Amino acid sequence: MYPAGVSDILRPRLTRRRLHTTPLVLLAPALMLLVAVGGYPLVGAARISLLQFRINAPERFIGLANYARLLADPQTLDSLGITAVFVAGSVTTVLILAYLISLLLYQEFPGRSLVRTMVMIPWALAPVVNGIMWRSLYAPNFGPLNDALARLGVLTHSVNWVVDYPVPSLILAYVWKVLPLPTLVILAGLEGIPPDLYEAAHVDGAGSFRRFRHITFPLMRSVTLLSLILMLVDALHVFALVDLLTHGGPAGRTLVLNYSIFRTAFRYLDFGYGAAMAFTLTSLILVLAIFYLRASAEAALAIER
Amino acid sequence: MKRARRAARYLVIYPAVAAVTLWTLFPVWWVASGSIRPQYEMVETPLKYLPRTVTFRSYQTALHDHAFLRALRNTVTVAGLTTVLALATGACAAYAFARFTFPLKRPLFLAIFLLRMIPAFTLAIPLFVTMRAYGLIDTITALVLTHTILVLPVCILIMRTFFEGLPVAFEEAAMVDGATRFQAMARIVLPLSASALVVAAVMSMITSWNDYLFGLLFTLSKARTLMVAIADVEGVFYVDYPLIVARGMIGLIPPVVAVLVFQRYLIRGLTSGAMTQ
Amino acid sequence: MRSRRLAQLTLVVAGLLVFPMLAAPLFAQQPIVLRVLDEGPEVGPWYKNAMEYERVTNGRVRVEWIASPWDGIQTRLATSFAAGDTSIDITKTWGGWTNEFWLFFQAIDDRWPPIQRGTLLPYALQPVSAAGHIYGVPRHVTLYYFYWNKRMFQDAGFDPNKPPQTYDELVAACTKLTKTGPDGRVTQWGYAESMDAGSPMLNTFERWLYRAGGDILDARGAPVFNDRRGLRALQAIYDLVHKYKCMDIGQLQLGNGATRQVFNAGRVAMMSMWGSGWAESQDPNRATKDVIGNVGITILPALDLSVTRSATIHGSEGYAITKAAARRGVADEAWKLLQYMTSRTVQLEALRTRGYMPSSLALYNDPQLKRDPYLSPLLAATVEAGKYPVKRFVWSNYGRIQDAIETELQNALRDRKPLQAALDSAAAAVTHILKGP
Repeated sequence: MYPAGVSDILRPRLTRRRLHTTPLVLLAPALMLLVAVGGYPLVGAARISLLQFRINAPERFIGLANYARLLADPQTLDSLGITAVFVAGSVTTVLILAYLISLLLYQEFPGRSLVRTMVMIPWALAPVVNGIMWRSLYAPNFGPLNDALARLGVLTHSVNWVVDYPVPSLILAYVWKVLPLPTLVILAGLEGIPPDLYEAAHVDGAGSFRRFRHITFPLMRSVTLLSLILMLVDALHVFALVDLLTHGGPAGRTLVLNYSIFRTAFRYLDFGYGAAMAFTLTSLILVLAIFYLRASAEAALAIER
Repeated sequence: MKRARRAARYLVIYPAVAAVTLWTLFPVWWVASGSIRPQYEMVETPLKYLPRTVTFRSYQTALHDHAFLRALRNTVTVAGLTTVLALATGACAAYAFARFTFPLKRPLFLAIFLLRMIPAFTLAIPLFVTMRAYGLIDTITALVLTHTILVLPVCILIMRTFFEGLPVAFEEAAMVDGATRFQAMARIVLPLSASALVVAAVMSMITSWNDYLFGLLFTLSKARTLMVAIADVEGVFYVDYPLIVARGMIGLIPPVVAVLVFQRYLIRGLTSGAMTQ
Repeated sequence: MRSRRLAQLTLVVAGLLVFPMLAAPLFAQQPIVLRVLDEGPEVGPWYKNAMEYERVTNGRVRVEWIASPWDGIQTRLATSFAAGDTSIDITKTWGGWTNEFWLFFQAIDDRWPPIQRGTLLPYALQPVSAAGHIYGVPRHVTLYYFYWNKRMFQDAGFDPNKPPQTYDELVAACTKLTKTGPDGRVTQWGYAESMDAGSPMLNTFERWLYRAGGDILDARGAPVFNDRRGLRALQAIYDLVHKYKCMDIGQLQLGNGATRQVFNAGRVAMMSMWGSGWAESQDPNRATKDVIGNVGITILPALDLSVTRSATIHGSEGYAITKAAARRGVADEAWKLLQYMTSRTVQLEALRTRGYMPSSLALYNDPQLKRDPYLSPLLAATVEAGKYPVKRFVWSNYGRIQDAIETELQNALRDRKPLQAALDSAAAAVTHILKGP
């Protein structure tokens, strides 16, 4: 018997017994930190988005003009499109791969600790080195990717990965770098499932695949959702890889929104416009977050059943 | 029958492990080999995957660079303190979100998440002004505080998810026995959610470790962090790739060691024995 | 009673003796700290020099070096100035940044009489000039030169001491020197120049444009690079890649460092590159045995001899003093430090170890340097290049303009747009940018 979730009988008793001070006390340290260190910059950034703030002219309040400009700029739609393709491609790829690898790492085999650690290496690699690495791997004539494919007979001539396939190249490099995160989360989720559930199913004669479908996957719903939202937010914040691998090019084909924001603010020194772009991106993620919260609430209820 | 099934398992597992190892380590091997051999060996045709001339010159240079070693130490300190701070405050907050209902719970959670959703560099200038006002430029404190607010929302999110998945029965049993809420949290929930803590800890550590922007902006030379230090030997007219990679490889060691230690705490789920306690 | 008084007396005397020893450091003169933002120590001898300055001034002035890669310096400066920060006293700069940030730099015209400035190469002052004033001191000068691998020339039947002087000669050598392996992949390219986004692409276009007699903006400040001269320049690059197939289209993703790397590995026969390529091609850690000692350096070949024999761009850089330093009252000290950091000895060392050309004219006539077998080809090429246009496009909105032009150039080179259409789109974009918000 596995009583998951909060039982209806006991819930009223819990909340009635304690005053409402306990949650506040628990929340206080986190909130204080966030407000003190993050609150003022957040307000400051919002203020900047309402200004024409260029570095070599005094600031000028222009209200929502930056946002209007954003809506009128064709580059915005272009960036959104590229971002959408990139995010969709990376998140699906990374979640599928993460699931497969987690399932593998969940099995017991000699050397498992080492493999689990090894899998985390891409994540810990310095972004600068990661950039150098992928530039080298993708190098047109003298890169290992082309070389290996040529040796295998798949290619007859060198492919210019970054020039001709910028977004897929970026996705591959990004997936490689960020795969350890969802792998870790999903693995932790798998480890959290009590083994006796599997024992019971095994006794009932269920094979591995059926066990996965009927036990693992349903119980992993909230963890899967968690990985999804983590990856979505991370993919929308990709920066170092774009900067080091493609510079947003070639010809602006990899100008994801986040990179575009950085470029507007720090290269073009148009901080007001950049801040407006940033808050627009944030609103986008906010919408996703609301969907996530709703979905995770449903998942929690499903587990209770 | 059982032996055959075990053999069949290994027939699937080991090739899969080999594939994962190749996927993970080949690119790293390739770039690392660039740090132990002359630059021209990296662009030969056909490509030589094994170095012919091995030289550890870059590593010697890196290890004799005091600024680099100091940056390494700084980053270890910052990542460690960030992880501790984020876990401590985050676990409490996550517990509050998981076990209690209170007014404005949903908006508050979204507001916390808001900070993670904003691109970090948008906050950079106002944050810079704040740090300067407090006199925190070029200090470890500035980095710890900044990194903590970067990772805190995700820590709370991860731990909340796992806390919600734990049955309340254990805490209720403890409270019936007279424990306070805090004691229930500390003695029962935390040990049971070791996996969640591991995930949050590793994630905090790696995020702090990987940070480049705030290290670049908030430090001058005393509190310089690793990611910036690795990159700062790169010049427009003159760049020593082997040295950059060597520094990167040295910088890979502490997080990998930390992960090796942490991942042992990814604990298998509750057993029925504990429940009948 | 008496012992107590004796004890008290002893304590007082001891205190009087000890106190000065403890307090002395507090009263000692604190050194003036000057913060310099530049690339890392590896890049040149300036770091070493700056670190010695404390000893030279007997501890009066200390230099704190803040190393960052190029983009990092830009980001740091933008953030610092936007936030009103005062922590940087001296920063590395070039024409683009000086035009962007001059409001935050301290003009030093009055400290530096024009007569003294006249002892420098004419384009050496561009990195620190903006809005009619001088904001710092030139650090080094560097040009784009033409390099060729003499051994490859010889093996292909060309005279190793006669590099191509015209575009046609370049094409002839380039096509002959491109070799393909048995699996159909190219093992050796004839010619290479970097076409990566983020500067190299625009620089490459500029070099051909100036050789075609064109310019980015005309005298009124309107874009003019899409005229027939600009088309000619772009066509020259396009043909090398697509028509003659002797330059790798992959150069669109290779930066300057990667291009130097393949040249030094003996994979490319000719390249256009900064002067730093000279030092690197003699370095056994970067260049193969076949390359070391077998490299020639000269001016860029002509596109059209009736226009000009050659033209090139310069990548000169300098150090600027910030207004923050002036407000702190250390502008004078900063000026003295810069004089020290860019002295003749340092310029010579930068030349010898890294191939950075000195900014002072006098050194080019130095007989000893002219006899140096390693340095003389580099010096000769620089002097020769000085006879023809040496330009560099800088503007206050440089980043935006650069990205707009590079996007269209790369579109054209990827065969996504006809050349003239690409140039016209770029010109329209630049006009839009120049109009302002």
